[in-house]
Amino acid sequence: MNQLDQFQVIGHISPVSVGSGVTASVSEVIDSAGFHGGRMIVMFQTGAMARTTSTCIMEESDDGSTWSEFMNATDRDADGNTGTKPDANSDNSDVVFDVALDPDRKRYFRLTYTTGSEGGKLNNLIACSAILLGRRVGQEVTSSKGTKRAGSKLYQAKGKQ
Amino acid sequence: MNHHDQYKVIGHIAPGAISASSTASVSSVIDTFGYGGGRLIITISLGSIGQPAIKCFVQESDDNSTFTTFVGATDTDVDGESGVQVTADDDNTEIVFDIPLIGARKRYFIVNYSSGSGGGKSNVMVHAIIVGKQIGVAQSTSDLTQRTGSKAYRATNV
Repeated sequence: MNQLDQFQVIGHISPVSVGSGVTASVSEVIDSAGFHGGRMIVMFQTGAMARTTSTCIMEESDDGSTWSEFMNATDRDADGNTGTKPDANSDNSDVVFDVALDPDRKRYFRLTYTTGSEGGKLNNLIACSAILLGRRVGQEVTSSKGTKRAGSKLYQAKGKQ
Repeated sequence: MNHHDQYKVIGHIAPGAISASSTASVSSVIDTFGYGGGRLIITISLGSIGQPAIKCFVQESDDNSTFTTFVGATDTDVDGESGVQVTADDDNTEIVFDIPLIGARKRYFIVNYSSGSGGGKSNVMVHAIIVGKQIGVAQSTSDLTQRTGSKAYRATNV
């Protein structure tokens, strides 16, 4: 990456324990404004899992209000294999959605995750963050440009002096 | 980004509730082999935080055994402001470490996050993404992720 490359990190679903039949709350819709021609990597991470998953899909919207699904964990993965939803055996693994931000795609994105409704089981520990990669020439890097949620902080490592 | 750009996602600290005086367990060390000249972006995502952090920093190593600290939450951030440790008021925020993989940096990285001995548990998760160029590397799930059992999907455009 050269000095004109930019990124923005979006905390999408905060680390949370999701109970029976519950949809994980999204704390920030992913707004890709300014990253046209770039790439969005959505990183869904599982911790301790006890339940099945009933929904694990990516949706997009032109207005942040009306949503349509365009990717699903049951789609074919990057290896060409039929995908599967995370289940009780999917502890400590990642589901990655790689989305090219070309003209086919809309501006807003979200991941909808819902657990199964079977009873008597522990909850699923999950979290999701996204990173937008692209070029915004002349864009200064600040915490508010590099992150989205209020109160977030960005640190840049310095090389050895 | 052009078609030679590559990335890899590493689930580093799985989503979990960290108890008082505990250190979050690292499930995969971040190995940046092959990404020299690229960039490592580490995201610490905070959910409900019940107690302050006493450690929140990134360490590096040449041999994946002896680690040294080089950037942390109490350093000056990119806005030029003095950094602070995570507190119980930091629910639903991010801490991002942006690390150019230049000659000064070592190969292996870990995040060390420890909770204080105060009240309830803290929900924390850490993801890392390495971005760089590895010409000719196939884009399979094992290239794009690190932990066993992970899956990568690519959107098919209309």
